Amino acid sequence: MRRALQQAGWLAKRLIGGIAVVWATATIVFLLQALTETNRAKSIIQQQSGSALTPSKGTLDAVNRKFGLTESVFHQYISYIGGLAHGNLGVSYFQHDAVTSVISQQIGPTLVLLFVALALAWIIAVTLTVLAAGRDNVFSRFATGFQLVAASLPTYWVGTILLVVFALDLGWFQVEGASGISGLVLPAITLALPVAGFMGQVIEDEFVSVLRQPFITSARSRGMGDLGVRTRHALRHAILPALTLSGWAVGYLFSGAVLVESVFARPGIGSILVNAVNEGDVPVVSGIVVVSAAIYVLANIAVDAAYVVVDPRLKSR
Amino acid sequence: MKNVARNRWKAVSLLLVAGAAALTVAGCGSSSAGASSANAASVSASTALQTTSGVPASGSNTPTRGGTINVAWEQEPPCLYGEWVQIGYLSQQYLEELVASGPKGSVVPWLATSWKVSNSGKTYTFQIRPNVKFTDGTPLTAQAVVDNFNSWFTSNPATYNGYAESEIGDVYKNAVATGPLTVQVNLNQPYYYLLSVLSQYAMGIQSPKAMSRGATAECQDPVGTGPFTVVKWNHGVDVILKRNPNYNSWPADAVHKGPAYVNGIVWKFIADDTTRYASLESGENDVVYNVPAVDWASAHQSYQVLQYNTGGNPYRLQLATQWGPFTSLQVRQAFAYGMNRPQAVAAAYLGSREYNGNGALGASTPTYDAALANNYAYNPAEANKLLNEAGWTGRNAQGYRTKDGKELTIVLPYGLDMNVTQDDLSFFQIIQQEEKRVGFNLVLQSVPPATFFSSGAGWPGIKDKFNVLPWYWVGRTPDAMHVVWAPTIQGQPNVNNVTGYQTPQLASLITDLDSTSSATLRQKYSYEIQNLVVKNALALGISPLEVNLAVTPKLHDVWLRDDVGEPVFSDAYFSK
Repeated sequence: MRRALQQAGWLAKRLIGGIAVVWATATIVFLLQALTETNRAKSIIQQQSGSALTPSKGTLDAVNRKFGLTESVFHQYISYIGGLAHGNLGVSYFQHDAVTSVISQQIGPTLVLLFVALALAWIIAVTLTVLAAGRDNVFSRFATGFQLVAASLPTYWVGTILLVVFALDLGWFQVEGASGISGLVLPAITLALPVAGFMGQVIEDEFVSVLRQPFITSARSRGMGDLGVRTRHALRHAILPALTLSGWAVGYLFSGAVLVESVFARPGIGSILVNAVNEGDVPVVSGIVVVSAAIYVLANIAVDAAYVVVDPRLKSR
Repeated sequence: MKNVARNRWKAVSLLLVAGAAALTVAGCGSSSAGASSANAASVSASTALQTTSGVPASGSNTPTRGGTINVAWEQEPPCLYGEWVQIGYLSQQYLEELVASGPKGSVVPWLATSWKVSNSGKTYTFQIRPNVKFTDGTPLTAQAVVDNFNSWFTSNPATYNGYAESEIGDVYKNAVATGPLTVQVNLNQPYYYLLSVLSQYAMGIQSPKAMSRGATAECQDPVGTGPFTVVKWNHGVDVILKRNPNYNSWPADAVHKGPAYVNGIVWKFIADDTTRYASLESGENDVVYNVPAVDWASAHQSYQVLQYNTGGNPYRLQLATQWGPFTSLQVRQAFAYGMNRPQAVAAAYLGSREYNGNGALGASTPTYDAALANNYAYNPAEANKLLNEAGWTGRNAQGYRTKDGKELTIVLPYGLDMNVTQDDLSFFQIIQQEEKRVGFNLVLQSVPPATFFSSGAGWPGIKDKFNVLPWYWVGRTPDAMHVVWAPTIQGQPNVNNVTGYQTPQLASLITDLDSTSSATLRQKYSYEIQNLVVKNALALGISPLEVNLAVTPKLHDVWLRDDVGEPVFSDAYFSK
């Protein structure tokens, strides 16, 4: 009972901290756009009509009224944050639709891609470490080299190469927009490779130092096999830093998804964000930034909670 | 064009019949054929407007029903109805105009079966085609057409039509239904180009009932009378269109009279060049827009290649004459002599575009002056001489010329996928190297598209901060030059003229060109304007704007409309 209360208190604290982060993000995004001097109503009309001519006053007034663009900055900020508190992110300038609905329609495929890529990165990193770390043979040298190269590959380039080789030349996968698992393979690999490289390096460092610990020697002296020692004892210690890295990876993958979605013509938040930035669709851009901040916060809370599961010693703290 | 150019607007097009005959055009197939041949005589175009190359369509030539056309496009528009040309390519699949732009600048009947122009030139009376229904069941009546006119000239941003306002806002008075199927459009003063304006993709007639749903529905699902209807817009992915089985309002120049052969179109948005073209090679798509230059040659070996060389103001470098080094005519001319434009076009576009040296007018436009095609041929010696004469005699450590300690810097801002494509960027990088040799520091500066669009001369984003602006303004006839060179539009300074160059002589030539009904005089004035633009080194031509499509050989009878090259899919069918 006491533990449950403690845990609830911990979670509440983290959530309050998370809300503060999201609020700060929203405020910064709001200030950045409020400080730009563009005549927004004019820009909206000019882009929609594709004409550089100055629109009539009546048209400008109508657009200003619709989006509340002539209100004071303070008033706009209050209604923006107030809306945010009620889950209202405003209305898109160009899609004439609520930002929440624009985002919710598109975020599904991005989240699926993101978490599949994260899982894949874990699988690649853990497998290579368990099989190669602390050994000195051709395979382990290959594994180390692979991690280095993978960590430094540009996503855009990997995506294009995979696309040309596996989708176009070999014809194993569809080139564009495939739904379902087959459409997920190449984009997920593209995104996972750099993260797997980073994680692999971090896990390996920790793994190698754990292998030198006395309790490993004692496990071996009890007659435990090498693979058993590696998976049951060393790995549990070595993945803690990789868990920390996963919080960061969610942010990295989210931004990487923008590029990958464009290369593979996948549905998702990426193309919406690129279009919105290009058009200056401020409500959509800030909406996506705020939502991704919230996802980042939640991912980090989840990572912290996972620590306790991996390392029971943390429970008593 | 590929260019995602936002402004790929069609400026005015037109060209009815020469002389007084223009004032009364009976709308029917045979008379418009007469109009075309009358026009042909005055056309001095050297470039074919529309070409089909590559491999021919394969299989049986007997049209068959069924199948879905998968189309891969580059840009996703913000709305499914509007005036940007990238909307037009798509909206022409479901919206139709009163008249259709026919070949060689003519117009042919579409939703209006005939029309009459009063002797004063101020009243146009249209007979609306009977028994046509919008795809929501609303009948097409004179009142429905009037409702559309009213919605264009309003301050309601949901239906306001900036294209209509900038083209005919100055002369439009009202539209009145004088009978169940008779519409009278009244003007404040005679306007020679009205039919041409009404044939533009931005003037599609929509169901008044559907328009009353408001902006959101208007954007998601506009309702017209066209051969296809919008089923669903999956933002960021595609627009699903299905066949209109009751279609009966095809234009006079349709290849076949009847509803579309195919069941529908999936119109996808694939911005990445490599992916888009690869999706045709893998067979996932049947039609791709904007073949990348590197794939241009191979596209010709496997696909039908459709090309439309749009007329009007070609893609060109416009030089800002009101500030910076280009206030000097000598420096502008030196810049022109300092680069090998034809060779850079060949190297950057690999044959996918033709060189259009005359920066004032596209080669396919009537009254184009071919004598200006080779202006400012590459001549570094002349460039150096002109720069020395203009006082840019010093050289700094990087090898750029200086004058009074100031470097000869020329800023060229660009919005990628906006007014500039990846291939255009290669072109700029080539001339950047050439200009360096004569001492110009040509700076290529990337600008966010939103800023770029609402910028330009007198535009807040980059006023005073650019010296060269690559741009174009599409049209079919020389009056496209009006859009750029007229001193004012609707009483405001003309922001389309980013060079800032304006003289009473240029202004009066533009007025003369607009108002005369004599083909001979139009040619004369047009030549004079082109010479003025070229001699003053205001606009250095690169290439005509172009629409290109690679089409699988199985798909027959896809064609590009003589407006701005919108693809027509209602006549297309898959061979067995």
